[in-house]
Amino acid sequence: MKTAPNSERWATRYPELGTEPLPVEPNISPEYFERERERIFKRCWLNVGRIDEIPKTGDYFIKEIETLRASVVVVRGKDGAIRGFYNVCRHRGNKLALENGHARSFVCGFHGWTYDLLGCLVRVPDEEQFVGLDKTQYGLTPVATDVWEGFIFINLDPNPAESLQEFIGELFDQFRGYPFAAMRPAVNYSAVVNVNWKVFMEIFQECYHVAYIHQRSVAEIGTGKDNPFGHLLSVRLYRRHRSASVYYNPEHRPTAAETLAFKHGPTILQGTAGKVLPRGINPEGSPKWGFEINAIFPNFILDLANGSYWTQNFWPLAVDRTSWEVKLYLNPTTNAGEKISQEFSKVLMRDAFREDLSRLENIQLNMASGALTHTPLSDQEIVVRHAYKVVEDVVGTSTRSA
Amino acid sequence: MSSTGTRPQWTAKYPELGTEPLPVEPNISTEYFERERQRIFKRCWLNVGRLEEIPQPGDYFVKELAILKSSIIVVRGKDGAIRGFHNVCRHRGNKLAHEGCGHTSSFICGFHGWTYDLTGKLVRVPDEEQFFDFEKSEYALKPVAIDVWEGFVFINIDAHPAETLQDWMGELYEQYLGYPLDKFTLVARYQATVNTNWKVFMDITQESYHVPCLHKRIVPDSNTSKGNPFCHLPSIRIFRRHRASSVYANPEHQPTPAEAVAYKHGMTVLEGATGNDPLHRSLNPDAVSNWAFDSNVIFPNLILHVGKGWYITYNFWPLAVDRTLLDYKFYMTAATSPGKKISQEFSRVLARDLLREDLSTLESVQGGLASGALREMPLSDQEIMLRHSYRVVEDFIRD
Repeated sequence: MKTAPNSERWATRYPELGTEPLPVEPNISPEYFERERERIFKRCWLNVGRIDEIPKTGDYFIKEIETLRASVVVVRGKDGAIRGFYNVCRHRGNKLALENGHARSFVCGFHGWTYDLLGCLVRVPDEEQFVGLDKTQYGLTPVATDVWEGFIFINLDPNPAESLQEFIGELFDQFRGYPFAAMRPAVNYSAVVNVNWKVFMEIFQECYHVAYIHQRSVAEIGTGKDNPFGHLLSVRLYRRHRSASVYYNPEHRPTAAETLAFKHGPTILQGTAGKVLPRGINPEGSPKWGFEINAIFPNFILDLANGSYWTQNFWPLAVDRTSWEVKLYLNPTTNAGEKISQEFSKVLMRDAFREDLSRLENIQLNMASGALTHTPLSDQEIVVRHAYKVVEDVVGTSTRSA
Repeated sequence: MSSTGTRPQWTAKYPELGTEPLPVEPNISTEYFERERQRIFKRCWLNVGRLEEIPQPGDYFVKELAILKSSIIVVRGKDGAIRGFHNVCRHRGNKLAHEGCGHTSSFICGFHGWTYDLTGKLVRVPDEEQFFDFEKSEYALKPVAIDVWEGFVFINIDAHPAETLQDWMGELYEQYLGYPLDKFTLVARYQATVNTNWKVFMDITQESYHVPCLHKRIVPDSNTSKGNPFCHLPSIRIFRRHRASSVYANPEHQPTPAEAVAYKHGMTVLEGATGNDPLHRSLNPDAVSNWAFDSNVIFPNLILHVGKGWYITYNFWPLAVDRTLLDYKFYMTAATSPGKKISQEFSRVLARDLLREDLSTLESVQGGLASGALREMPLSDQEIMLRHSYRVVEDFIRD
């Protein structure tokens, strides 16, 4: 049990991760990146959205997965089930759906081939001009699709080695009961940043930087007299995923604007506020708990707080270029005061993200400059150590282990 | 020959082309693309322009050919002859002339001033006495094989082309004999660099199955009718390497009000053979009824549409396996009155919009082919020209 900072080293609990500096090579090598593309992104379950985005039969969204040069359409069928298909007409390869929407069928704009919501080819204009065309052989190419806690995952491996449940593993039932379905998207941000995807993800998994990068925004919330460096309350390293409980300063003194904003609504970091949360959230039961970081391999971060959660998806475009999306979900508001308090939360979060993003391109340039070959990591950065180890286990060997 | 037949007739007429789906690999493989570069583009006759672009002695144009990693000068000499040269100074390799066209009496290298006449001969070397055992006659510009077919200038980068241009043009050689292609004027030129394979780009101009779907807003009834709802091609002619087709025109096409105004005093791009004048014998060689225009696909990368009173050239220049530059030129008979000018403008815009709709599919298609979602494409009988197109390429690649 880790309740007080500095009482035990995480490296002692996870000795297999070592303490030596980490090489920068995986963040700058195009060859390493190609292996990540082939062995990780082409084989793993990848979060592409939530079921709330397509609540009704015929609702669909498109996901352009540039990492894999694929466009995927995710649709809710008449039976209510969620299915994924390559967004590619089986005739000459044209893209079927061009924007998110609602449809009874997908009609290719090139020659009018038409597919139903199950992906079956139901109409071929001028069909008799095809010799021996068996329409049943030309359904849309399916993409493995499954749902965990309302999060839709796809897998571009035609035969995924594991079910989504197996893949999610230790986290599978840790959040059961969390009111995902009741919460509403409050704001989305996205950015394309010239940085390696792993470097991008690091910054959202450790809190050593909070006192410095965020000194003008949230440092006073994430550090305290008893924890000046924002040590993590708890770190749990799993087979591929990892979780951490983030410290919250109960003596945080709100600014005047913040006081006003939260007069009529909940703050984004209100601790547990006496609530009983699912067992995977603040498992140590700390009164100084802010939120839970869950890094779900390979490219999804799910941060859970009391009354709010936010997701981050990291889509590698190149070894040194990543597309990032963050979505903040909050409880539905019932009055104007709550609306104002949500607005404050959105802006606070945006500013903290901007501070995080401000460092990334310089870090990438410096890693690529040859100035350093290794980076030394603090015990508080053990989550970063674990992240590289999991990637290396898949990419750094010749055998398939994802 | 029926324009409305419902039975597959073309695959029966050309059984050697088969009916099975075609692999997508040739459109996405970088290795295949490199072989296309070496075995097709480095060996075949390639159209680079027309004679009208360089009417006077000393007129020249420069063509940058990324697929050949070459820059070529095409110039008309004092003797009126057309010559082609590598646009490379024989001293240190600098480029002599920049892309575009111009007029000159000699080519002077901007680096050290070496000067070549219009026949490529090196005529001046500044400070010549500082060179050793130097024979200017041995340092003429490197010539490129060049010839002309019906005003179209072709070059061949192969030092020893296997065939003359006449042999190369083959079955199409005499098609436009006596047809006044040189009397038409350039009405519009569009260029576009599109992230698609050059063959995928050419595919869309070789079938009309997409017309009632993709172009339903622009030509809702010009090329389709109750009797021919899917724009079946009334004639397809498969040659050794080239191919041609005639496109259907709906005689009951109802012009929009704007179209009617535009064509009150001029000719329409869609009037086909319905006008009063008899067609030149170069046009509609199969004498199909309801003829719109002929489309000639000249291997490897030139498409020539010829209609009554107009023609269009498409030059497709591969830049990479998934990137192609299109150079599109629209020619019409000269407008002799404001009314005819207006009608030309209508035709120009119509053709441009059709081109833009065609282009809208290309990057999607390339993405779809590269995604791994499909390995092959099933093709309709009406898409037989694509079958032949891939077959001819394959024959060059595998020889």
